Amino acid sequence: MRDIRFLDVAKSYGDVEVISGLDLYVREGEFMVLVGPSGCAKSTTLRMIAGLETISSGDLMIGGERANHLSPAQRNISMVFQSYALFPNMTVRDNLSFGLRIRKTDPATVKSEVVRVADTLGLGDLLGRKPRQLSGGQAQRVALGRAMIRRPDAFLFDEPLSNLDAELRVQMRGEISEMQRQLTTTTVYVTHDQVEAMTMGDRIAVMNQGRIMQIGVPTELYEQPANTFVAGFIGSPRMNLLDAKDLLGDAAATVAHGRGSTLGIRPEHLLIGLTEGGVPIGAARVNRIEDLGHEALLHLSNARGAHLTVRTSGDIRGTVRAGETLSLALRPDRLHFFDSTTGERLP
Amino acid sequence: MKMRTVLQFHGGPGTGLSQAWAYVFTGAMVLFSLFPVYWVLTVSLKSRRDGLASPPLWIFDPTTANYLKLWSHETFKYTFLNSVIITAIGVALSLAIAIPTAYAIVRMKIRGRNLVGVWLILAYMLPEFLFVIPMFSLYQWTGLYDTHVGLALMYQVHVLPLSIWLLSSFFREINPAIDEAARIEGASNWQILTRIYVPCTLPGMAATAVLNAIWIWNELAIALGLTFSKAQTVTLGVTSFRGYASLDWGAMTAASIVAIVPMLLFAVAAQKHIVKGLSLGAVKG
Ligand SMILES: Nc1ncnc2c1ncn2[C@@H]1O[C@H](COP(=O)(O)OP(=O)(O)O)[C@@H](O)[C@H]1O
Ligand SMILES: [Mg+2]
Repeated sequence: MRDIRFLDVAKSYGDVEVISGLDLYVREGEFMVLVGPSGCAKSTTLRMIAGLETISSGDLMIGGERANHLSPAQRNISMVFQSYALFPNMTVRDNLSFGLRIRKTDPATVKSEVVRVADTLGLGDLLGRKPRQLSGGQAQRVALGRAMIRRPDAFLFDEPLSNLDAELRVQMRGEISEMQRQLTTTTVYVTHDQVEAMTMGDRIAVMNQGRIMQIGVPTELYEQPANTFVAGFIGSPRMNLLDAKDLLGDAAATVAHGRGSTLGIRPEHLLIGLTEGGVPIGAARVNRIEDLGHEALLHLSNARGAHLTVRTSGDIRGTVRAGETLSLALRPDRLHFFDSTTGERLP
Repeated sequence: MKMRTVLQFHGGPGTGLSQAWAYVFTGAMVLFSLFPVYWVLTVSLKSRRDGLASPPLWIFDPTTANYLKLWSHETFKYTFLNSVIITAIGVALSLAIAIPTAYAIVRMKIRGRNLVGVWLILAYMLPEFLFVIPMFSLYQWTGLYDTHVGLALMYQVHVLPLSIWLLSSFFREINPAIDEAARIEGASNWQILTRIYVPCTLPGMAATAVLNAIWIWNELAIALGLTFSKAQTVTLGVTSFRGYASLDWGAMTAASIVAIVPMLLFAVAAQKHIVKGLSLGAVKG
């Protein structure tokens, strides 16, 4: 188990700088998730840890040692790819044991390790199969097995669940978290899915355009997003972000930072009608209702033409119709304030 | 009703007319290319008298005399064996060089892909004999003249570009993440190549080997220029039935047939692989 540290790392492809000034510390035994929209350089960051991409400037430290020039093999790290990247010509058994055999482990140990990993992941019956005879979920498990059999110093995952269907994805999410918690191996997990990030990560680093926007535990990102990017990216449906004036009208002046700032309020913190603890913010017209069964999302526009999303319990079914006008309130303790030019959180 | 007729005339999949034409056309092409083989075969089965008959006889008494004559013909047997050896060395050499080269081109960020293309076109465009003239004295000087290895080496000029081009298009089909996974597991380039790439592209390897073998086996011009006696190949052996003043048609055609057989067997045995191999990526490439 070792920690991983980026010190002012930059990465360019030719003249194009895709990462600059990257500082990131992954603690020993921690499950760190890198999340961000497609193209924000998550994979590039991960691949620099693996040694699959060179580092243009700055230092990568693994276990306190500078690792910039170590080959992938020398880093003693495992990686799970989105495409699984199983070796097509080898059986599951040979896929699992490949790394051990390359490292000239004695055959008796190889054999017992394969059995151990196959038992852990329920692969016992599949050992003789070739990768093309496996379902997506099974292939995913083999890829996990291949990663854990060597007992590496760190696990790297690059969107490992993207090719699975929704149900399996939820299941594997749990299994990977569980496995990591048992092995307590330092893990860096890349995804574009904020639900995966929130449910799996000990800590999350939110990235955008080659920069880290915020690092924190899941509740921190949810409750105190550092800027409008994180505020909009974490949480589903996304936070309502609008001009103070558009949300509050004349009342904006009465709120701290009210003037000229961007306000954020999550859909679950907007209330319908005059509920206790709510501050009224005027009436809004219902444009559309998304009924998800256990909850319903109302899309509204208020008197100042601003669009708002409200999340309510599914019980509202039948009592509200599109076209109706409702009076809204919000929980003032749940308001977020951001500088409207820089997007940074205001204290 | 009218619509229907028109549609049928154009013929969707499996409908009459266009498919029939395809069969007729293909059949004609097959006949056209197989006719010489048929002709040689019949001459080889004719007695000396029937073989010289004019107009040619369509119906005759087949005889194995010409084939039996080959059996005791030392030069032919010797050149046949030479060809087996030279083809084996040539094919082994071509794969041994082309496999790592193709891997390097495809996966190691080496610029040279275009050069292989140019080399391929040159090797096919230039007549073989052009290579022979400058090599003749070099070969005599280095002692490669009239040796098996010398000939197999010279053949690489022609078979390597095609082999590298074919193999790189097979290798390109392999997901690059597989390399990366293997590298992280600790494998070297060489281990990735021998344990993953080669086993994954065996049909492609077989197809390449067969194509090279056929070309080397049938080659005449270079063999003529760079051998004298010790390393003469079967294509030269066949011509040895042409005497100073006479021509033994029967023996010569029998020799031709025997010379075709190994490649025919080879091609038939590997046919499945060739088709699979060639449709694996080379065509798309
Ligand atoms: N080999 C490469 N050459 C040039 N640009 C690349 C290369 N790999 C990635 N990029 C660019 O770097 C940026 C980050 O890519 P990537 O790390 O794959 O993003 P993510 O994984 O977050 O979707 C993208 O703009 C991508 O186009
Ligand atoms: Mg990516």
